[in-house]
Amino acid sequence: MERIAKAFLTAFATPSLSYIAYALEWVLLFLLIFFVCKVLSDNNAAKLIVVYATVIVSAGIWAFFFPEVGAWAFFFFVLLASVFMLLLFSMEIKRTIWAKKNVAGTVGPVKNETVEAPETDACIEAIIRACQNMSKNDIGALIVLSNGNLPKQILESGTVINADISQQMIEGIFFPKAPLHDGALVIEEHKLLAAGCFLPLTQNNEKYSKDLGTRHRAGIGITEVTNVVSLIVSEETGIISIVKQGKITRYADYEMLRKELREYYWKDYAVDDHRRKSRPMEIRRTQR
Amino acid sequence: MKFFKWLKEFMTENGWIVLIAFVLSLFFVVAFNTQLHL
Repeated sequence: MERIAKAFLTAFATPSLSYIAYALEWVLLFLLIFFVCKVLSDNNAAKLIVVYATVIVSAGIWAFFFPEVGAWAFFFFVLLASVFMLLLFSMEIKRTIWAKKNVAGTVGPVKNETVEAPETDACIEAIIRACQNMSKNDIGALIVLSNGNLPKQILESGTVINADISQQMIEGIFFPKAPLHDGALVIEEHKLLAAGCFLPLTQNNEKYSKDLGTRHRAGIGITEVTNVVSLIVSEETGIISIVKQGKITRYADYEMLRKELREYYWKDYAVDDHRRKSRPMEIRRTQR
Repeated sequence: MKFFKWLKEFMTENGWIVLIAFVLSLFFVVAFNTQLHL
């Protein structure tokens, strides 16, 4: 303990230029930790902040009591924990950066240039029309909009379709007595990836009313464990619901569904915006 | 002042994150530099 106190005094009690280095060190670390905590909090993972803080504090305590490990080992451990936390939400960080770049009007190089926004509009229209038709005819449906982040076992529990999105195809899947109607339809980008998939049910029984059946519980459950959006059509009432991060919005109309799906296909619209902005003014005028 | 208005809004929204980051970074700087001189 005496050794630690002496080391502390040697480090901080000698007035020198090193105070500037300490301040800089502190500011940089503050920014890193703030950024990690902000990303975790924005992505509904506030619980991970506790884990992250615990990791840093226990690494600090560990460094105090085992000086032979070295300060740099402690530094790299904290850095590694930060990178790990950020990697968990790399997709979301990318999305935020893209959104901010688009506001500024300086979109960078685009990788996926093959998808046109009109094609995406057709997909969105097909999904909305299918949901509204099924709602009108009291056909139950559960659609999951995945970002490729669904656990493998969920996809394996259903049947892989890998078909283009069309209104008839979606309605056909959920048609009562069809073999795949009892389960979730997974949409990934512009494809109907799999149908008849089994999803984990939400365990939060107190939060949701008892009117919500198994389909709704499955639709909520999957959004609690992964960052996906569920669209649910109730078989009993025909109500269309949107579930995001465990929060259910009932009575979704055309505009709400469109807004949600446009958000899901944000990349395609970013490409489209970029093209419109990069096109010369004269071409834009003649096209009007 | 625009800056103070922005700061107030920012702190209302992110105050607890700022606090956590402040405490953790301070802890890290103290622990790291003390350890460096051990």
